[in-house]
Amino acid sequence: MMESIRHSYHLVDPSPWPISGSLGALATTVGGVMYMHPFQGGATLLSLGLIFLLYTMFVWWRDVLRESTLEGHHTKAVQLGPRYGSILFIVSEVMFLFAFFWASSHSSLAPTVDIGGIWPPKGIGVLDPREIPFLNTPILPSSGAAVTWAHHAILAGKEKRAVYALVATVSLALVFTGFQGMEYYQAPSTISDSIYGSTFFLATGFHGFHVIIDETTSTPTLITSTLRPATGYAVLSIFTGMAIAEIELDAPRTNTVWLAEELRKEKRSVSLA
Amino acid sequence: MAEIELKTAPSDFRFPTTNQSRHCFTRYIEYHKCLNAKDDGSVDCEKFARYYRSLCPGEWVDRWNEQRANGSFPGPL
Repeated sequence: MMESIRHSYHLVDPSPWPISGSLGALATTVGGVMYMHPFQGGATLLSLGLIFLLYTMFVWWRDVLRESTLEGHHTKAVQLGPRYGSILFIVSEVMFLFAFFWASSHSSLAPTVDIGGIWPPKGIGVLDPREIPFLNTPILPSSGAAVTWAHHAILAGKEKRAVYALVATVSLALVFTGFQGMEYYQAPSTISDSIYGSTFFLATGFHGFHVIIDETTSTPTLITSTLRPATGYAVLSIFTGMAIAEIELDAPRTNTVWLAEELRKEKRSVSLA
Repeated sequence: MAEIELKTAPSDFRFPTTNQSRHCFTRYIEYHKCLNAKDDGSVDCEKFARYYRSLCPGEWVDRWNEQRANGSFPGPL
């Protein structure tokens, strides 16, 4: 028998998912380290950890959906929590990427004598910014524009248009990461090639990883809303509560990072010419 | 009695900071570029050698000489 509540906060029931998520994350990190170093069974532990983690994500969010749609726990006050969480996450990411730009500028604007005082360091092949980077530059902001379209469609209650816009968002992001993958595959240098490779692949790699995260978080929303419209609408409404900050701030921010990176490449090719 | 003249590298407006690492490196580069450009036996390059020898730590010069010998010197020569 449910007692009457005199406040708008969601006091959660005991759940196995926090501990199963923690174990999955532990297996993933340990397995990941083992996989990247010469240990036996690293790939197995990594795969198990990732499967466990994905399973936890699925069942945990399934429970969250039930709590919101069937039990009505997602009050205005509750929605504030993930909102502040998203904003803090984005602020932390801005600082994270700012550090990469600092590292890159520190190393390239006044190259030390240890790398011969020149940038790029001797023997390092440089990508031509007028090839794939130039092609990708309009693609990623288009994906950002499409997600803004999706957001406004959700706010206006136009569910079908929101789905179209999310399809466009994810497709453009997939094209972007496809080209990025191709560029990495054909790149003349690697992450272990001097400070140039380290700063370049750390920054562009984390940026690409971020785009992939955006794809993988948008896709389940999309699939749910297409296959099960009733649940899908709930997913979309949670999406508004939780992801408004994410969409509004993060997509333009990610694209700004990309554009800044492009400008940096462009400037470098000018200084080489 | 012959007077011994002690002189370090002259101050160079390209390197106005207290830290003269880059000055040392540049003079080393200039010396070797000069050697490449001039005929053998030219004395014009000697001043660059004096400059880098008075500016650079000995270990740095040894390391760079080794790197030039095995083809791994990173500077623009």
